[in-house]
Amino acid sequence: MLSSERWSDIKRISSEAFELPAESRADFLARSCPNALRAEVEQLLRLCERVSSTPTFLDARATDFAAPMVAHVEQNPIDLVALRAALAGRYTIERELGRGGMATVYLARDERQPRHVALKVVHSRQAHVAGSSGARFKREIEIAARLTHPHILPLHDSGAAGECLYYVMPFVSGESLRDRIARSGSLSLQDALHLLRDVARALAYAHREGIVHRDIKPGNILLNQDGDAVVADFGIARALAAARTDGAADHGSADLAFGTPAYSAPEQLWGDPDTDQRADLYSLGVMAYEMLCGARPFAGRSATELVAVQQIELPESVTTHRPDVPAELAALIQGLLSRDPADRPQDAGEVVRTLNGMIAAAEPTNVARAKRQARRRIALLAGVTFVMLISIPAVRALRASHARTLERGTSNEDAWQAYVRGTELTQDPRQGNLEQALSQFDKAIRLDSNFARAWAGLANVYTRQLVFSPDQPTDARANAERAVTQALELDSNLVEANYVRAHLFMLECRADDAQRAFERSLTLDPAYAHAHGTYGLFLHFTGRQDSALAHLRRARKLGPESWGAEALLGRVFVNINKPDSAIPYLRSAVSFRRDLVFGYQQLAFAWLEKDMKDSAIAAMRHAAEWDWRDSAQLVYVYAKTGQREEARRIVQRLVNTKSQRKLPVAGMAMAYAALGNIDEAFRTLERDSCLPALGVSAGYESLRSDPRFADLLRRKGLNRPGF
Amino acid sequence: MSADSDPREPESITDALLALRQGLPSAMDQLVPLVYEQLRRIAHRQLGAEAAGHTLSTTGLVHEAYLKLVDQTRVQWQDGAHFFAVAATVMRRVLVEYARRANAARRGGGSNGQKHTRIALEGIEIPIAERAAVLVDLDEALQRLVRIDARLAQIVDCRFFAGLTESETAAALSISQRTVAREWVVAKAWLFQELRNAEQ
Repeated sequence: MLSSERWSDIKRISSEAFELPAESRADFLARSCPNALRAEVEQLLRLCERVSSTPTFLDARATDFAAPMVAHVEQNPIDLVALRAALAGRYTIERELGRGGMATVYLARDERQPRHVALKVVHSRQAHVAGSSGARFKREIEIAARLTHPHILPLHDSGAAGECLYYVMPFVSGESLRDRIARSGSLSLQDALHLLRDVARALAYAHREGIVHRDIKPGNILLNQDGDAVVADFGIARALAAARTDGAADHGSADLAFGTPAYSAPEQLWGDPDTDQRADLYSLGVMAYEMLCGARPFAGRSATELVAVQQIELPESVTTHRPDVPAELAALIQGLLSRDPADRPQDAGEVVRTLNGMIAAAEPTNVARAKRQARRRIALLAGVTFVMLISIPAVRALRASHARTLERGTSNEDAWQAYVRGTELTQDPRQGNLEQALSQFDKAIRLDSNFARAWAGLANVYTRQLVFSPDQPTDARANAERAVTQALELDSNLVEANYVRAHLFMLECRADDAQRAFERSLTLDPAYAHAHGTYGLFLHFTGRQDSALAHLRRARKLGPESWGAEALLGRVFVNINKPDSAIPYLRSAVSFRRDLVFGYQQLAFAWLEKDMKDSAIAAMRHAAEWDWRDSAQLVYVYAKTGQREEARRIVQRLVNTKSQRKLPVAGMAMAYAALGNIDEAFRTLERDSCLPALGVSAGYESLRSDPRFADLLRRKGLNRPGF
Repeated sequence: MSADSDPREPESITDALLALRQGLPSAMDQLVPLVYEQLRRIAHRQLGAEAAGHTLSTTGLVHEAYLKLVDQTRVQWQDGAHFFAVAATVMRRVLVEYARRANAARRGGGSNGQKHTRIALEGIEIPIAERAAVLVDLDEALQRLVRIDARLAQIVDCRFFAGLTESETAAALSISQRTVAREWVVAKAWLFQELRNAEQ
């Protein structure tokens, strides 16, 4: 390294030279610069000239230079790489569900139980995680985790992962009250009354248990599939405050600042240390006001203005905006919004009783109630933004631990672990994983031969081999049948087994049996994503496209394997000639799974439809790189883009291969058809006993007009009603 | 209630500055983390807000920090100079910390994580990833520079990271304004060379 002394000389001589007019510098160096330093001085001088004549980034202010970068980091407050690493073995993050100022919510797979959860990560700037603050956070949150109430979203778990604090909740289906208000403006009187009562009941229970929410607002109220309100984030405010304090047990004022100013009671905004559960009642009042009027009292005031405005102004009565609100309800809301906590109802139970009276009066008959519920369900189904979903398996998993054996279906811990591992491997379609999944399920069955779910898992793997593996192991179908029969004998109500049975019926083109089995699966568990996904595909094959899309979208929302549902959504859109709708889904699917051959193939079809030949060829070539037999579909693309020589060359290579492995029937038929060899295409199609996709798939268009195609569909049982 | 307005903080920064003037050796240890935390908060608010469409303030973050955090009635001008000298170096740490986080986020975004620094010298639009890479490389270069010429590195901290003028830099470092001007050119020249080498 350059010594300080030498550098000091180089710098001095260069600087002196640089201060001279440009034309005198050479003379100066000749006179004053020792030869030993000459080269370095000249180099530095040139650089000085360079940076003086042309500005560099160093001439800007660092904060200006860095501003876009800082903004980017602030907008992406979570370091996903670090978070994933910290959660490894416990949760696997699948995708982001939503993001607020305080936290980001992810859909995650629980690695210890086969379920999906909502994992909420607190942005590190909300709680500086240092020293024991993670432990304090966990201790506080465990107090809240004891709450069990139908209108309170339970907490599964919490902890610190790297710099971030996180907590885990069931994955809930439905929108939040925030979304609902944004979507429909104000709510009907009936809906508002019921939702308010749900929240008031939750508050009454939690307050009895000594827990104040401190952040009641529409974003924290989730509406489940029955349209009931479920309060999220109980105890979080206190836990975050605990994490932020310096270990002193002084929670007095520090945690009061927490909350969303627009919904906070005056005493909470003031930081009054005597703030108690009545602050939640004020927030309930603000929320009630917003539900009925579509806007909050004092809407449009800034946080700092609010503190003053609340002191000097009273909110306008609800009835000025909503004349249909009964006087009694308006009075209740006005009471909740009282500046002085002593003027509010003193406990949430009182609010529940008042609302009970109003609901009874407003709803004299059961007929009205049934109608209301039906209306609510329709409204929910029409909802545009589903933020979170409560899946039935998730709710099931919440039951107390003594019921675990019942839930799991085995009392053998090792069998359970093998089953969980097998399930994971099944969902990860990389080479060799299905074989490993088979051995895990085999192991689970060896340990507990009455473990029905393991039998169903085994059947599912064999079925997937039929679908995904071009080799189609000859006994896979028989093995799948045997395993699923065993599973159903052990437990005829097992949703996983009924689903696999439905899938097998579909692959055998037994449409009526498949229809019944799918329906049964979805009756057993309306939130079983796999059933929605495969049923969607079945509906597509049988010509019911709108229902197909609805079920596939549901599968995508529910997860796991949202990427699989996306790929299938793409396939349906490709086949119904809507490439523009297909492409975003397919891109998302292949970005999640870069080895999703099927996704690239469908992308190629979509781009071909849009006449984007280069993209289509690139996508198909990429697909063929994973398995050379997929070159068959590449033939189709080359033929369609006018490169028939290249197409013929690939066909010859495929046919001449001495490999024992089977060529894909559908792909080869498509290749022959595209090259105009219609007879060979039909001969190839005869080789498969059933191709349920034959009627709808892209790639067969040159065969459709041939009478042999209709005959083929008939003989394969595909032309019956339903198929 | 953001901690910016916590009334205890400015006093302790002011106290640390006063202690520094009295030559208490622990004062610097107190001052650096306090200034770091405050600058980080201001950067978070100022630069984070910029994303939401707000404009950046015309005074530098370090100036803003000084006005907000140092009790002007209790300090003399040398204390202010001390503050700027410390804050300039701390500002580098704050921004490099952001740069490392930006790089981490980028690796998570599916990029191959390759380092390819290009110093865009003509003021063209530079992608975020490159800004981050440049700042990390610059920090490493400055750490090498400290070993052969610490004052040059301090001048870079003041002029570039803190956005101080020549005269403010001169005051902060107790050197002449002419020295600042001369050395700043040399510093840029040296860094230009170093970063170009890092690129290759």
